[in-house]
Amino acid sequence: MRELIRTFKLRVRALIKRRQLERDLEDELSYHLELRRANAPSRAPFGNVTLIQEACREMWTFNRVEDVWRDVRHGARILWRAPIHTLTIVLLLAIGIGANGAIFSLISALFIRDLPVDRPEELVVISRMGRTGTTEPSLPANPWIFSHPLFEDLRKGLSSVRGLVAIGDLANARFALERNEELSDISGSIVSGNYFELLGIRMAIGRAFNETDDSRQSPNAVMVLSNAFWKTHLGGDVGVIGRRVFLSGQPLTVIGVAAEEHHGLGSAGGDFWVPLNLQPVVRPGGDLRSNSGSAWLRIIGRLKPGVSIQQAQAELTVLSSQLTGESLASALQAESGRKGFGNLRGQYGTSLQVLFGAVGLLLLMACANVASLLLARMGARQREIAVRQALGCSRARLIRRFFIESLILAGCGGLLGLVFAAGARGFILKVAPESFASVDISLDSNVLLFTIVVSFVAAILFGLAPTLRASQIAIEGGLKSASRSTTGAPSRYALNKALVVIQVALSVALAAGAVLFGQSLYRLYSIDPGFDRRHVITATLNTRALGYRNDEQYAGMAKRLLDRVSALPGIRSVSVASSGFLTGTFRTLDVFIEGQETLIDNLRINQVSRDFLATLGVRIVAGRVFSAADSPAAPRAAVINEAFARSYFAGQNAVGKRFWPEDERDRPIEIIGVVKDSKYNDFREASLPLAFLPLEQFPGRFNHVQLRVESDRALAGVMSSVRQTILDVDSRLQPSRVETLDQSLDRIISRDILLARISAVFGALGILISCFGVYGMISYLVASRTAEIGIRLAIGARPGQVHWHVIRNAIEVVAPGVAIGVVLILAGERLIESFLFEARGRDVLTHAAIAGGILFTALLAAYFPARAAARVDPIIALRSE
Amino acid sequence: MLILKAVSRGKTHGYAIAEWIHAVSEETLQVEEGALYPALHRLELRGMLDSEWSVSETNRRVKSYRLTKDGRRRLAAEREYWQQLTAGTMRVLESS
Repeated sequence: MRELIRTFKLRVRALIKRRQLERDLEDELSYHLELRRANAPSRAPFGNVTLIQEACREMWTFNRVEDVWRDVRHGARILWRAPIHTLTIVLLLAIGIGANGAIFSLISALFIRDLPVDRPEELVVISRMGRTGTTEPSLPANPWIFSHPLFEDLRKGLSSVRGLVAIGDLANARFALERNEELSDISGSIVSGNYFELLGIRMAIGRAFNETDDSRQSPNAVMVLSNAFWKTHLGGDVGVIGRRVFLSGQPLTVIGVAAEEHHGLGSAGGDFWVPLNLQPVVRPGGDLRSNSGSAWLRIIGRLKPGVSIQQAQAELTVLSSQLTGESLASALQAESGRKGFGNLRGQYGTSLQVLFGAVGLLLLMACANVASLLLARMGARQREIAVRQALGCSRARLIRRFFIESLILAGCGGLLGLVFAAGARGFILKVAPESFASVDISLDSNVLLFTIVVSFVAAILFGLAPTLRASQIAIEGGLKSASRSTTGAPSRYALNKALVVIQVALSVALAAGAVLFGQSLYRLYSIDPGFDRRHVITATLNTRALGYRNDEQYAGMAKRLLDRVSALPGIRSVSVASSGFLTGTFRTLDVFIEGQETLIDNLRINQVSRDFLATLGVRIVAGRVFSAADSPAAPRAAVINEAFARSYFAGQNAVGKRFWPEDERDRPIEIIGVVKDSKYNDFREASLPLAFLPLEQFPGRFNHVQLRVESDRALAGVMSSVRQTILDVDSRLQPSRVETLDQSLDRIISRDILLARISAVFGALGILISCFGVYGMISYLVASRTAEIGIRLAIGARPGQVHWHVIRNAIEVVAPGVAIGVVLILAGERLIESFLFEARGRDVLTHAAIAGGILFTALLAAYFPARAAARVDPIIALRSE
Repeated sequence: MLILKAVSRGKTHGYAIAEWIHAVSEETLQVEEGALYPALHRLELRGMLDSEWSVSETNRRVKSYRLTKDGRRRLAAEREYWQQLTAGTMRVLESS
């Protein structure tokens, strides 16, 4: 062992101070010689000085390493000599590795990286146990959010943590340095005062707020900005500290900018942070601090040193059975919080797995392609191999040499792949839904490591075939056959063909994925949402800021607003509603239906102005919609959706039936019409019973305004002016999310869009690579059989026959590839079925179309080299021997 | 072993080692220089020998070697082994 270390030291020294060692050796030997000459000149000669030196030197050198280094240089030279060949391979690998790196950077950001806070392993996230996708409306579907009173109870009761932090989202906020210049749609978080201290988040400049700032009685109106927001929107101006700004119209003082690495905890909203007790001021919805019915806070805590999650869990289980403030349908649980909250993780986790699978296939294809390219070149290098062997190169050495070449290629491909992955970041951010904006998907060390590993694995994958071939040639003793260009045994092509079969099969699978996702997206777009979303603009209003005490005031505001907005040019109709389409929140009412005993609780209602149904283009099934007749004085009226009619008036005519809210039996509501069901939020959901109530008879706060415009041209014009018009009516309304319903839809189905777009890119790349593979194989085939083709032509084969002969070779490869691909689709379909909207099981037609399409494209790729083969001039072909 | 023995006498340089072995063996053993220096260097690597540089009277750099503890132990072991071997060989040769 010691010897090893000493040897290593010497060798390292030899690397660094070679000259010194050389001199030492020379001095030592020449001294010997000198003494010899002086004392015993007659004795036998000294021997070969150089040889002695050589023997001594051997001890210093990393023989292996230097040999390998020589191989590396030699390999690089060989690759350099065929630049196009090399470039093609590197490019192919870079595409494969880059795609993997890009997807992996997302995975790293969501799954692998710890939060950039102090000791992330101590963090615990509190959630409700075992609840996903519940249909119970009284509890939020999100298992991570809790009410403020519950947070307080936990904070007081839980002793295994050093502290608990509450985090609430504040989405769609607007930020302004001055009142008139606003940035809309920024999103931050409302956090308890201990947020920065407990998590250990440092500030870039200024200070963080603390518990004192966040006092319940008089919280300081302060905010901390994120580094990214500060840099992008404020140009990194240090002077912003201490400045008064407006957050959604409320004056706040900026006291700090968070350090660069902090992007929030993986829930949405990483632009800014404000103290929890400012909630009544900055977040609509009244004072939520004493409202135990409204869950909106996420809770993360830091364990006391030495306390395990299990201990915290045990305490939490006991505690949750004692809590009475909130109806806990299930026990609470503590999970590791080192990676932050998992909402994107849960939402996109499985999609990412699918994409990761797809990039894996893509890389596999690239490897197969590269392997066949290398194999093709192997033919040309047969003679080199034979000569090498004749000169005494061992098989192991030969294999090593080829493997090193593969590694060089993979290394270059990996480097370029990293560049591609970095470039793909922009693309991902563009196609990814907004919520990814807060995710830091930069290339971190995980991605780097991953890329290195992938490159290495790729080198083994694609290097295997040519290396095997090399050793095979070595055995055959290539010299004797190398000079002849006739084809040898058909097995020589077997490997090549197998590689192309793999590529075609994988490209079929990738293309199928792309088509299936694309179809699913198309079905989502073409689904009948029950309304006409073309030419409709919606805006979300902050009517809460109006601070009206009674509902009639809202009615007056609605009238003023409708009058002003409908005066805009190109407007067909305007309406306001308590719930807009594609916004997803509802008021509910507990009602009795005439003649039916049971109470319907949580009936969804939507208070709308008279023209709402017309503005949205909701189709009438029976009866009529609201008109001027439904004035406040007239009998109360409602329009219901088909789901309502189906659920409670099955087989009867719902029009004319009556229902009333609990306690208002004396003022029944008459159903005057039935309209089509409409999708509200998730296009996948089934429609629930819903009643539209006229705002004039049921005055109240409305949240949305909708405009139907005449044409696309008018759309653009109105888009730009509608915001100002609303502000002119009342500047407190502060419209946000002014967008067309098409845009709203895109937002809602963003996951499907993401999958469809990225898989489309992969599908296209896959087809490209496989065509390239077929083209390469056939070209190689033709090139190496020029002589044979020449002879065939010389003895009377017609060009057409030759053409067909070559094409047949292509079919032999492509057809089994497509067949295997179809098998892959059938097997893989189950895996991605859950991502598809209304997947219709085995879609034979689609599969056939994909298979046919690839078959055609691949054969097209083979057509050109085949034509070249048919045009071979027999004389030239034979002469070239 | 011979080299180790030669060095065990104290600090010596390569030429002296060769000469000493040559002289002591009464000119029956001659150490090839071609084998001597690689052997010296190898022994040094294995930690049997230490070396240092000095300057001779003729103003040349001289590398001289010294036995280390390991080297001494090794020499003893080698000697014992050699004695056993020669003794055994002698017994075989002298048996009748």
